[in-house]
Amino acid sequence: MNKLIWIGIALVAMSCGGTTETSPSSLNLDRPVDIAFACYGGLRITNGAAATADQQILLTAQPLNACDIRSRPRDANDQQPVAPGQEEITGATLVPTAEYYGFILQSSRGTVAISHWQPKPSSSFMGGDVTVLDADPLTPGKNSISVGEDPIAIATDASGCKEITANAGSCDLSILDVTSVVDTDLTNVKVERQDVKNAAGQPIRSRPSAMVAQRSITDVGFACPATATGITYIAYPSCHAVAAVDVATGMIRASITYDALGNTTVHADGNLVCPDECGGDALVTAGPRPVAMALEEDPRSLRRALAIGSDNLGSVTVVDLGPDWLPLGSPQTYALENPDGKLGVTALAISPQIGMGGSGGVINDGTGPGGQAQYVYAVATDHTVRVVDILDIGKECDTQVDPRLIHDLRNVKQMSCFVVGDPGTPARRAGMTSPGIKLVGDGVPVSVAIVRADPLDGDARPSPYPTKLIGYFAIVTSSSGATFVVNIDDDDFGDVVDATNPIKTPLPLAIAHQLRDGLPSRTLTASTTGDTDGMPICNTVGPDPDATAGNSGGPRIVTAPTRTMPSGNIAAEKISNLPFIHQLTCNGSDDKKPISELGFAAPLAQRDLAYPDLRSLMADETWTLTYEGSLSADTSNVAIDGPAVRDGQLVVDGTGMHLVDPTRPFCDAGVEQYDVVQMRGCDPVNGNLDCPIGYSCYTHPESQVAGLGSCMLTSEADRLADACKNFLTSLRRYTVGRARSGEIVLLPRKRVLRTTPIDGCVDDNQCKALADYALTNASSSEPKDDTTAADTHKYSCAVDTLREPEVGYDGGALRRCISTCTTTADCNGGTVCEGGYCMEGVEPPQACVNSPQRFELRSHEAFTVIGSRSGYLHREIADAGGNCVVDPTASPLLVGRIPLDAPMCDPTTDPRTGKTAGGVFDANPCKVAVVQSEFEPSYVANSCAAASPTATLVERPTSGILFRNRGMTFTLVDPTYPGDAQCHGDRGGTLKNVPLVFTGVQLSFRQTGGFRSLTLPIAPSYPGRVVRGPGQSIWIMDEGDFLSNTVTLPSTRGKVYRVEASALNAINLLQ
Amino acid sequence: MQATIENPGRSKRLAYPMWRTLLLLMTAACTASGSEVSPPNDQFFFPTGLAVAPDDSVLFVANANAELRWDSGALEVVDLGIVDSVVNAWTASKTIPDGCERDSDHTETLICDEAMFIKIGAGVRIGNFATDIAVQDTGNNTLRLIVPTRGDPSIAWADYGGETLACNSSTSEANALCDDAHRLSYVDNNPDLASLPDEPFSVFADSVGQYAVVTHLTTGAVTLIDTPRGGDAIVSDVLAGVFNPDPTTGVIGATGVAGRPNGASGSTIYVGSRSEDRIQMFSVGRPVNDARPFLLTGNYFFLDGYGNNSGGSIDTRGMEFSPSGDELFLVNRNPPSLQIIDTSTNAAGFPKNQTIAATDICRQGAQLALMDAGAGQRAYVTCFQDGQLYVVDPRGSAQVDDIIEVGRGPFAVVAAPSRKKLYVTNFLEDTIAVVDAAPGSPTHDRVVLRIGEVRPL
Repeated sequence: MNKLIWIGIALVAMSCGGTTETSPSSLNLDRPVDIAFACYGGLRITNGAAATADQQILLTAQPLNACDIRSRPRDANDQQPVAPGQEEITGATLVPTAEYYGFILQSSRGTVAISHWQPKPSSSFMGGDVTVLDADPLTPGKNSISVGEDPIAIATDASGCKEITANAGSCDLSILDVTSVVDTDLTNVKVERQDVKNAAGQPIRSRPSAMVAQRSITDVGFACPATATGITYIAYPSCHAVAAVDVATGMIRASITYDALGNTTVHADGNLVCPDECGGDALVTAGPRPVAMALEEDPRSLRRALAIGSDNLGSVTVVDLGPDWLPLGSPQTYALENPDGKLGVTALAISPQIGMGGSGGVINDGTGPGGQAQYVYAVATDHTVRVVDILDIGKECDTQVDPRLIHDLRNVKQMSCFVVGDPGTPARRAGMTSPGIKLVGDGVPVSVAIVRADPLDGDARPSPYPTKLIGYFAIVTSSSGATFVVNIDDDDFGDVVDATNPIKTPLPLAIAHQLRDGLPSRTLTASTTGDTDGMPICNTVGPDPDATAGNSGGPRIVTAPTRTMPSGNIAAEKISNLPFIHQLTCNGSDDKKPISELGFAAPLAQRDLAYPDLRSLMADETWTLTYEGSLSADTSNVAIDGPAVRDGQLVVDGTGMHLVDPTRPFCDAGVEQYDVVQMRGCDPVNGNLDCPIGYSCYTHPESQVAGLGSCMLTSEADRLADACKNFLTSLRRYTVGRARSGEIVLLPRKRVLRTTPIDGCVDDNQCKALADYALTNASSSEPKDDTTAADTHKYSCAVDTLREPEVGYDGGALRRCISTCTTTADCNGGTVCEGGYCMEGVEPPQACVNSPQRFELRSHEAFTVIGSRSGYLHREIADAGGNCVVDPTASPLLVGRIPLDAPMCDPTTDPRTGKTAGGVFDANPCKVAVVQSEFEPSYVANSCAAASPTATLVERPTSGILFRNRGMTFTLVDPTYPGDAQCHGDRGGTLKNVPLVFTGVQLSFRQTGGFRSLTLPIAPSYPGRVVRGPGQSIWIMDEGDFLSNTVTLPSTRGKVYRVEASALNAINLLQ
Repeated sequence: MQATIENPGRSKRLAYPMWRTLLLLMTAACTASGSEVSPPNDQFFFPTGLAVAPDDSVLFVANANAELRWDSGALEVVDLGIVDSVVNAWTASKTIPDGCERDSDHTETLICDEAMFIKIGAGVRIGNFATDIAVQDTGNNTLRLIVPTRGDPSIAWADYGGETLACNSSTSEANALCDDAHRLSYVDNNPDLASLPDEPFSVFADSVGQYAVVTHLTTGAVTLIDTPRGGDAIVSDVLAGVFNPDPTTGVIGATGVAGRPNGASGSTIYVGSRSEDRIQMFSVGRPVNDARPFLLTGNYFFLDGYGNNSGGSIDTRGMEFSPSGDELFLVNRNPPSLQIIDTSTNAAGFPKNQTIAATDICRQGAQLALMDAGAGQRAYVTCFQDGQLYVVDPRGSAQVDDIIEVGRGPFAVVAAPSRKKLYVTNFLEDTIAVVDAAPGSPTHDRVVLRIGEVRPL
C-alpha cells in the first residue's frame, strides 16, 4: 500500500477527535496583532506656502491629518473638506482625493496586510466600508507583505510615509514605504531593515516587546522624506529599558531604564547596552520587564506623555515628553496597590485631559464640574484594569468603592478618583480585593484603549441609552472574547444620585471608571406613565426580561417568590404560614394589594434600598432560600461552589469519624461547625453504577430510607449486613464537629423534634405537645376538627451536646426536644436507637465505609441562600492549621445563611449601608420588627366557612430576619408560627417561637435587571489588542483562530473589527 | 504471545471504520513468523510517547508501529549523554560523526542514525499504537513506565533499573514482549470484572501516591492504575462517563491529564475533555482494608476564560502543571490556544482554578512541556499539523515567544532541564528532534539534532 495512505491513516489515528472544520472561504488575514494607519492619495506639494496652480501634485503618502480633515462632515455644497493648500484652484489640476490605509501586522507570518477605506465621518460608517487589499494581485489570494521575523508592533512614522515594525525575532526594525505599497507599481514595494543602535553605533540586539511612535505631523503639503522620521519608543524587557529611537537613523536618542528595585532613570543620550537575544550569548539579568507602553498628546493642553508598564512591577511610569518628543525631566512613578508584591502591567492607555462630570449630552471638557483629570488605564496581572490619575492627584484611583457608602456624596471631583489608601476613601464592595476594574465573567483583561465619543447630529436615541456614548470611554478586550466599555466620563448621565428619583442614577452607572451597563430604561417605574409622574400601578412586574427585544428596566424580581418543599410534612392549606419575603401594601391606580419588597411595583425608595449596588447584582439569576439546604447548587454546566454531591472517604478510628477529601475543598465550600453532612451512599435504582467496579450498591433489607444504599465490596456485603445494620438503616445524617480544609470530623446526630422552639424547650411535656403539633402540620383538616393521632414517640427536653450550643429562653443552655428510645422500634423510620436516643446517623465500624462515600454539605438551622450565578456567599477561609474559620477581614455582606433567630437589629443602623450610628456594621442577618402586608383568610363567624370576600388585606406586625448581601437587601418574615386556633391561617394559636419550617423548605425567586455589562456586538476569539483609530474608531485585533462547526460560517485565522465609538452597531469586519 | 493480535475477541472496539480496515489488512498481511516481523531495536517507527528519566540520563521512546509493519510496538531507551556529546561537538566545532550528516535545509541541524543513541537491547516490545509514557519513580534508582496502547487496548508497564527495561518475568532476553502481567486489559486483571475502556490516550503517574491515571479518548472514561513500589501494577478503577458528549457532534472523550502536587497523599488529578469545556478534578482514595484504590470525583471548572465569546473552549489536549503546582498549562484545540490556569490555593486552601492568561497558538496542538532553561519558564507546544513547536512565554498576559520548525507530525515533547534540551517525537517522519533551549546559545530554540532517518514522503 502506498505509504502516503498509511501515513494518512496514521495521521487520523494520531489526531482523531480533531475538530470539524468548515472549508474556509478565501481568508485575507492570519492572526492579526496590531494595526497602524496611513493616508495616501493626491497631494499638492506646497512646502508650507500658499497653494498655486503650478505646484506639483503627487499621488503619495501624506500625514494622517490629511485624511482626518477629509473625514469631517461635508459643507453645504457637499464638498469634502481638505487640508490647507489642497483646495480646488480655478484652472488648476484638481488634487485627487486621499484615502485611509490600515497596515495590519500579522506576527506569526511576519507580514503586513493592507486595508483601505474612504475618509468620511464616523456616522457614515455602516459596515462594508473597509476592505482588504491585495499586495500582490499576480499571486492567487489576497497577499500581504513580508516585513520581518516575529514583528510585535507596527507604527506610522512622523511623516506618515513609512510604517515601522519592531521585530522580536530578528531584534531590529523594518521600515515599509507606504507609497511603494499602495501605488500601482507591484514590483516596487520597499521594505528596509534597520538596526537600533546605541551611541557607540552598536546594534541593540535585544527582543522588543512594545513600540509606540510620536503622532504624525499635521502640516499637509510636503513630499515624503527619503527616510522614516520621528521618534519611536521601543520597550526591551530583557534590557529593563525603553529606548527613544530616531527612526531616520536607528540611533537611540534617549532611554528610560529600570534598576532592580524598579526605580527609573531618564538618560538623555544613547548610551544603552542590552543583552544580545538574537544570536548572542549574553544572559538576561533579572529586573523589571517593560512590556507595555502608551503615548498620548493631549489636544487641549498639548501635554505629551509616555506611560510604561512592566509585567513584573506594580507601578506605572509616566514620562513627559518635550516638543521633540524626547523625555523631559524625571519620570513619575505611580505605585499601584500590590499587596503580594506580584503585580505587573501588561497593557496601557492614556486618556486626554478630561473635564470630569456633566450630563448634558455634550462633551464639556472646559466646564466639567469635577475639574480636569487625566488617567492612565493599566491592564494588571491581578486581572483588573487599574486607573491612575496622572494630572493633579497623582495617585491610583479605587474603582471598587461600595456605592452604599457614597450615596449622598455630591463632590464630582472626589467621585472621579477615590484615592487608594486615602483615609477618606470609603470601603470597597464586598469581595473586591483589588482597586481595579473587574470584568464580568471568567475572561481576563488583555488590552485597553481610550476613545472620545462625540454626540451624533440628529441622534434619535433617548438619553441616557447604553449604546449612546457621549464622553470618554475605555474599551477593554478580554481573553474570553468579550470587549467591554468602561465609563470614564459619561457626559450623558448624571454624576450624582438624584435625590428625587434615586433609581434614575445608580452610582455604578454615574461615577467614573465603572463598567458600562447595557440595559436600557433603568428609570422605568410601576406607574401609569412609566415614570415618577404617574399614578402607581400594583398589577405589574415590570418589563418582560425574556422579551425578544431584550431586557430593560431596573432590578426587580420577576414574579412573587414561590415555595416548594418535600411532601408529607405540611398540608397545602398551611404552606402560606411558612416564612416568606417581606411584602408591602401597594395602593395603586389599579388595585390595592400586597406586593413584594423586591418587586417592580415597590415604592422607589424601597427599590433603591433593596438593590443598593447595581454592579454587585447579577444581570439575571434565580435565588433559592432552602432551609438546611445544600451549600451548592452547581449543575453539570455550572461550577461555582463545587458539586452538590461530593465524593470522599470515611475513616473511623479512636478519634472519631473523619470525612476526608484530599483535594481540600471544605473551607472553600463554606462548611461551618454544626452543619449537616448527609451521606448519599448509592442509589439502588442505578444498579451498581454509583459504585466502583467490584462493589455492589447494597440496601439493607430493614432499611426504611428510600434510595439510600451503600457501596460495599460485593464479596463482603452480606457478611457485613449485621455489623453495619445501624449505619445502613439510618438516614446517615451527621453533624460537623470540626471542619478543616481537607477533613470534616463527623458527629453522630440525634433526632431532634423540628418544632422545638428556637429559644429551647421547657420540659418533656412541652416536647410531647409539640410533637403532636408537628404531626398536625400535615393534616388538611381545620385545626378545630383535626383528629390527627398523637405522636407515640418519646422526647426528652435536654441539651444536645452534639449540636450548636446556644442560649435558651432562660439564659441557660438551649435545650432541644430529643427523640429517646429503648429499641429502634421506638424511633421514627430512618433513625436507629443507640445510647437511648434515636439517631439519624451513627458511627459505623470502619468495615462498613471502606468504599468511596458520596455526601452533601448542608447548613444547619438556617436557610441556605444561593444565587444561580452568584453561588453561596460566605467568609470561610482556612487558618494556618487548615481549620475553617471566618475571615475577620471579609465584608459582612458575604453571607449566605438566614437563621430563624438572630441578634436584634440596631435601630440606629443606616438602612442602606448597614452601619450603626457607631460606624460599625450591624449584625447581618439581624432580627427586626416589620409589618407584613398580606391577604388573610376571612371566615364566617364561629365557623371555618369562607366569608365573602374570602380574604382581607391586612397589615400584620410580625418579626423578620433582615438579610443583606452584596447586591440585595430583604427581610424574611415569620420565622416562626403561633399555630391556629380554629381555622387555617387564623394565627390564633399560642405557640411561642415555634418554627414551622423543616429541612428542604424552599423559597425561590428570579431576580432580573441587575448589572449587565455593555460589550461590543462582535464575537472575536481572542481580541489581543484594541487600537484607537482615525475618527475615534475602535479597532479590535482578533488574533485567535475560529473553528467553525456550521456551514454558514467559515473558519478563520483571526479577524479585524472596526467599531464606531459613537455608533457601536456600525461594524466593519475583516477576516 | 503477541501484544496486540493475540486474541481477536479481546481486541479493542474500533472507533473508526478506517481502523477496522486497518486491522483487517494487518491480520491478513501479517503472516510472517514472529522473528521476521519483530520490530527493529535500533530504529524509531512512528514514535509517539516520550519521557525523560528524572535524572535526565535517558529518554524513553514509545514506537507506535502505526504502519503495522511489525508485530508490536516498542519502548526504546535513548542515552541522552551520547546525545549531548554529539550535539555539543556539533554546535561547538561542527563536528559530524560517522552516521550523521548536516541537514541541507536547516544548516544548524545535524541528522544522525538513531542507532547511535538507542541503548540496544534495553527496550521492550509492547502493543501497537502506544500514545504516551508516564514515568513513576519507584525508589532505589528504579523507574516504572506506564504506557497506554490503543491497539489492544491495554496499559503496558515496564520497570527500568538503570540499564534495561523489563516487562516479562519469564524471560531475560533483550526486547522481550511484555507478558500478560505487564499488559493490563482488565480491572484487577480479572476478565469477569470489567475490560479496559477503548482508546487509552494520556497518562499521568504519581510517584508519591503510587498510582497512574489514564484517559480514554472515545469514551470519556478515566482509569486508575494502582502501581505500588515493589508490586505489580493493576487496573484498579474505571470511571465511565466522566464527560458528556458534544451536543453537536456526539463526540465524547477524556484527553489530557496532569497532577497537581498535594502532599503525602499524592496529587490532585486534573482531566480535560475532548467534548466539553470542563476540567474535572480527582483524587485517589485508598481503603484502609487494603482493597483496591479508587478514584474520588472532585470539583470541576469550565474553561470560560478563553474563547467563550466565540462558541466555547473545548478539546483539551496536553496538560502540565508548573513545578510548584500553582499554574496549570493546557493546550486547547478549539479555539487553538494555550491557556494558563491559576491553581494556587485561595484563602480557603483550595485551588483557585481561574484563567490567568492565554494565547493563540497553532491548530491541532498536541502536547506540551514546561522548562526554565535559565531565562524564565517557557511552555513548549507541539503542533502536529504544522510541524512546529510553539514557544510561549507565560509571563504577563502570555505570548508566543518563538515558533520552531521541528519536523513532520510532532506529537510528544519533553524537557531535560539539566541539559537545557527539548525532545520532540516527529510521528510522521520517524525521528526525534532535539531542540537547544539554552538562553544565549547561538542555536537557541533551534533543532540541533534530528535523531533518525527521516521517513520520505
